[in-house]
Amino acid sequence: MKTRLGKKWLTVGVIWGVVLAMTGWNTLLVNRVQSRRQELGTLQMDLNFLQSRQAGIQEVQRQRSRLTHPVKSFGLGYLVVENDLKRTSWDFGLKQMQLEADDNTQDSQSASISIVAAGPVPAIVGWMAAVEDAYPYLVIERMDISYDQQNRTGRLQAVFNYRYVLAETERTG
Amino acid sequence: MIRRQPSLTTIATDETICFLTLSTDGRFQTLASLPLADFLEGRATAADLPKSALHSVNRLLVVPDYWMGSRFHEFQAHKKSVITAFIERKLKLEQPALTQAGDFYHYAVVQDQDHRQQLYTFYLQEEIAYRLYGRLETLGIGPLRITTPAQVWQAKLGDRVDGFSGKGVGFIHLGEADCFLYFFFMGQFLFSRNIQIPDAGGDPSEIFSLLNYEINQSFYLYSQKTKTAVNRLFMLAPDASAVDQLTELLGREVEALPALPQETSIPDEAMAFPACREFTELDLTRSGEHYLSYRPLKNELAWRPVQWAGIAVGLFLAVLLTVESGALYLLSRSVERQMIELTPAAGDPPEIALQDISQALDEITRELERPSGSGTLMRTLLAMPDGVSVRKISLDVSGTPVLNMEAVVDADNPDAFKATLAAFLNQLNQRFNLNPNALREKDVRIQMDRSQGDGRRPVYQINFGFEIS
Repeated sequence: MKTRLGKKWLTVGVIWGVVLAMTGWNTLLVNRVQSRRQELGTLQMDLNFLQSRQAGIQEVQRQRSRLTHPVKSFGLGYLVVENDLKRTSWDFGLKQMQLEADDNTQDSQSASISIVAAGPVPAIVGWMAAVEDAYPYLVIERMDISYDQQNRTGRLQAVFNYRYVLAETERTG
Repeated sequence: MIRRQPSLTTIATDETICFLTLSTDGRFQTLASLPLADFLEGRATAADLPKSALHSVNRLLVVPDYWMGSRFHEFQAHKKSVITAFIERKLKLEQPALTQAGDFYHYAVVQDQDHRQQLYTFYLQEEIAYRLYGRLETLGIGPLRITTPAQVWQAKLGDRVDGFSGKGVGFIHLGEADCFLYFFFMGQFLFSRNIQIPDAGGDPSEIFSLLNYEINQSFYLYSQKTKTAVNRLFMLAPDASAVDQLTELLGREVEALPALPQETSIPDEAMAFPACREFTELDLTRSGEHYLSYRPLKNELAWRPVQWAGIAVGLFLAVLLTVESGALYLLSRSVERQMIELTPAAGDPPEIALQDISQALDEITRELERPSGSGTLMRTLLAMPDGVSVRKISLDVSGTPVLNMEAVVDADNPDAFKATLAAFLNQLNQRFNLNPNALREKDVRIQMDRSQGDGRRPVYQINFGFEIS
């Protein structure tokens, strides 16, 4: 009889052990479900946001893409830049434009390009504005404008940071 | 499915032990009937008992009345621990040979006619009773409770006789070949006698004379033991006229026991136990205070409701938790399915796309915050008042954007120069939002050059720099 009562205590212990184990397991499941539901909610909100702001996002990506120049190689990119800058300088009446890439500062994503040009100060300002507007991947780092009062001309010395990205498709000016 | 273990009832006399089980129709069936001596000596082994008996719970063992002794003690305390300690001490003193008596007793607290508290104790007083218990325990069918026919009658009479616990009661159980006399004091069994009825050859007067004699002897013993007389005398006899005859012989009223069921549950094989022949299934299965139990077992049995409650509640919770677990599993699968459905099959996951957008916005913002070369030039030129000519403008945005400037101011005198310079600085402060680090005259290096022109009109050269944002 005592053995039977002992077995009953054992049964009680086993059952409650199972109950405790299942409580732990269920708590784990609840936490997991809760966490996944939160992830699901976040995912839904992200997707809704991406869908509702599709136009804005595309514009952001477009603006961002303008900040770098996709080229097949730096050399090819530099040729494009040189051509663009010189053509623009002619449009604004600047003279003696010289460009030089600084090999020391060149890395896989950007390079310094030094520019020297001469012309009236308003032309320099206009050229500068046109370049900044048309070629956002050319970012000015340093700029010196000196004015010769006797000849009434300005001389521009500037260093641009040329940001490019090596890509299969090339965008030209 | 949980199967309830079958119940076993055991009845023992000096010669025989009988194992009864309760059938579905509420009647007892005999599983085995063995000579007690053989059973105790081990000559009747487990093989002689049906398996069903060995796998049953032995709920009750009925032993002869004299196997159990009883005592009344005047005792004032009510506390259980004090009472049990008192009883065990008394048993040790009064029954030194019965070393196990302290584990086999039961007690009741009663009040006598003078309203004094009495402690009624009954215990196993025969060594054979302990041997029988041990033998049953060895076979795994140790009884949960032990009682005697007198104790069962005590419970039955307690139900049927008004004021049973407050009076001295005698009970005559007359059979064909024997008669049992039971005497109760304060509702508790005092003593019993078994009278073998001789074959009177059809003359009942001889039998009643014998009964008259024995009953009067018992009255005398009763008055000696209790110092009181028997108040009421009840009788159960096969022939109703026996009550009247005995009343006449004893010269006092003998009452027929009221309302006993006619049909008993004890099978014919068990009729070897004449003291039990009127007992029903209810008499042998009812709960009450007319049993004793092996005390350690009793203590353990007291935990039985807790065990069952623990099992029941545990199982209930286990079922609930299993259902909950299933529901949670289904829920988690549903959430996983939704996640898979929402996650784009191609392209970056939304969080990566958002991170990319955030980076793009950062880059754009950084670019927008950089001062533009043309804008800086325009603002500087627009800030210049009449009389100021720029000589050199330097902009460095590689670190903190800094604008350095050299210019000449055409002024007739220092006051005019001062006014022009103040206007220039004021314009610069406004156009470049330089407050609170506004440019002041002290920040400007000034040189006066009289070498140009006729030397009478000085040229003021100014040179300064400032951080722009």
